[in-house]
Formats: sequence, structure tokens, C-alpha cells
Amino acid sequence: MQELMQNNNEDDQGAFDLWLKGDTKGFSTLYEKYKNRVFGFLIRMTGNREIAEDLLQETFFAALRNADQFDRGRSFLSWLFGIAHKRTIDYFRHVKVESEHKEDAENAVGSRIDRPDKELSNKNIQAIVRDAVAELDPLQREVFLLREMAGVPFKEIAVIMNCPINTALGRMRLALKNIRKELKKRGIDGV
Amino acid sequence: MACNLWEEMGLLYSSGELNEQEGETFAAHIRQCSECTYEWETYQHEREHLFSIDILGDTPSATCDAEILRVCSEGRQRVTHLSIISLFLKKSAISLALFLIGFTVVGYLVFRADLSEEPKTAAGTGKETETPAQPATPVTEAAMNKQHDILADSIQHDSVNFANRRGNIDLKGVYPVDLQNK
Ligand SMILES: [Zn+2]
Repeated sequence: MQELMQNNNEDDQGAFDLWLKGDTKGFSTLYEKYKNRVFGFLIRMTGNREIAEDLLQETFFAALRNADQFDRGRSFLSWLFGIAHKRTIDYFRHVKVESEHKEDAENAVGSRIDRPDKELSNKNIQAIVRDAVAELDPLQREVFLLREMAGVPFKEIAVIMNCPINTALGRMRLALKNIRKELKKRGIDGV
Repeated sequence: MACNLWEEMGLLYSSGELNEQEGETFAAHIRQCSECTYEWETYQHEREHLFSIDILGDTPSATCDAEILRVCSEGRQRVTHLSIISLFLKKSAISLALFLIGFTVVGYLVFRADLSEEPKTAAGTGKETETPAQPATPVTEAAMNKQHDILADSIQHDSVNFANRRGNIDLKGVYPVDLQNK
């Protein structure tokens, strides 16, 4: 698994160098590879599609602008998510919408619990999982998304979030526990 | 939970972050520990069926894609200048427009207020005056007449008051109170 990660990293760095030299293909390779992961992360963190698109643009523009600061010892993926993380923090710092989102999510969950679904279609499962993720504490949600959606290793998550690795692991365990609790309420069991 | 090895190593094992020896040891442990087997299988199932990119991810709009591809494909030089400016302009266009409208309106009102105050300051006494010195116009004449009437009323009122208190020959033998006992 580690060898696979290393090859992947080398491919990314090659594409990144091409991009810096002005080769369009270098950028489109990286963009196509990571845009959905970064966008998915941003949309689940902000809860707003339009804001997530703005932050996605800012993330890629900032990546190009700060290319000199790219540490070749790290993976491009982790570095890119580090930028996306900072953009998200800036967003929450300037617009204090977090509590509103939490309130919205609480209302949504409240109404959901009142009327349990009889049939769980794929679409329902998607919605339930997304709601369960949206319900998480922001720090747990970020670790969970970085790991499960973006595929960032815990060591890198700790660097991105500026915390000890054990803190990142603890947040992940809590995130899983809370998601499972929420899914169980709606009749979805892990196994 | 009797075994706490999953808590310590399970997640790092899943993410491939244990070194080779630790990984092998933990894999051997999972095979013989029912609790860790359950945790491992549950997590793998969730990752495969619930925490997939299809469920957690999303796709940016074609417009967003096109804008990022256009700007970033043009290379570093461009993104450092134009794209940042255009992103800034896009985001601040509405607030900038509102600010300019507000600024113009307030500026106009302040300008008008200054114009109307100019003669007063030109009179230059620096003291508060009830009526500013102005050329004779129907309006100021009326104001002066009114002031004259008020003054006349006041004098009249004072004399009646005095008469009531101190006596007056016109009031036919009504003596002042303080003279009555003398
Ligand atoms: Zn065990």
C-alpha cells in the first residue's frame, strides 16, 4: 500500500512540475484527479455549494500562487488539502455561519427522526450518511472527510490540522461512533 | 470492549500507516481476536458501501470547472495577478456598487447642507442667533412682524400684571393688597 502511495505521489509531482512550466496537461491531470475530492470536502464542510465552488477556485489558485512552498517530501494531495483546510478556516472565521448550519442540521435531524423511513433506497442511504456527517462536530467532521473522502493519511491530517496524531485518531474514532449511532437510529447497521 | 488493540492500531492499520512489522503483528492479531475482527469488518463494510466518494463527494459545476481550468492552465504568472483580481472583483462587485451608491448619496447631501449653511457662517458672529441677518424678503418681514407682535404682547402682559399686583388708576378704586392696611 505504501509503495502504491509513493508511485501516486511521484506521478502527481511530475504533473505539478508540468503545470508550473505552463503545460496545460499537467494541471488538467491533477485537477481531474482531485477536484471531486476537494469539492466534496468543501461542500461537506461548508454545507453550501456556491461557497464550496468559490473555495475550490481559491484552493487551486492558491496552490499555483504558492507553488514555491510545496514541500516535495509531502504528497501533493496532502498539500492541496492543507490549502483547502486553510480556506475553510478563513471562511468560517469571516462568516460566522457555523451555528446557523448546526441549527439547520438539528432541525433537519429532528424532523427526520419523527418520521422513520420504511424503505431505505440508495438515495435515502446517501442522504442519511450525508446528514450524519453534517451533524458531526466540525473537527471530527474534518478528520473524517480528510480520511474517508480525500484519502489523506492520519500523519498528514495531523500536520494539516496542526494537532498530535493521537488527537486526529481520537477525533476519527468519535466521528465513526457518532455516525454509527445516527445510522443505527435510521435502521442502517454497519455489517 | 476487552481488547483495546483496535483503538490503538486499527485505524492506522486501515490507512496503511503502520510499519511492516507492526502491520504483520496486527494482521495476525485480527485473525484470532473476535472483537478486532468485528471492528475491522464493520469499518471495511462502511468504507466500501457508505463512506464512498459517490456518497460523500460531489462534482463542481461545468462553469466552475471551466473557470479554474482557464485560469490555472495559463500558468503561474497569470494566476498571481489577474485571477486573484477577477475573483476579488466578482466577489466584491455588489458590495462595491452599494458602497459607491451610498457614498454618492451621502456626499450629495453633505454638499447640499454645506451650501445652505454658508451664508450663516459668513455672517460670522460665532454666537447662536435666533434670526440670521438676511436681506429683506417677504419671509423675513413676516418673521420680524411676528417678533414685534410677540414683544408688544409681552409688554402689554407685563403692564396688566403690574396693574393687578400694584394697582392702577384705570381699574377704578381697586387698591393694591399691600397698601390696604395703611
Ligand atoms: Zn483485539
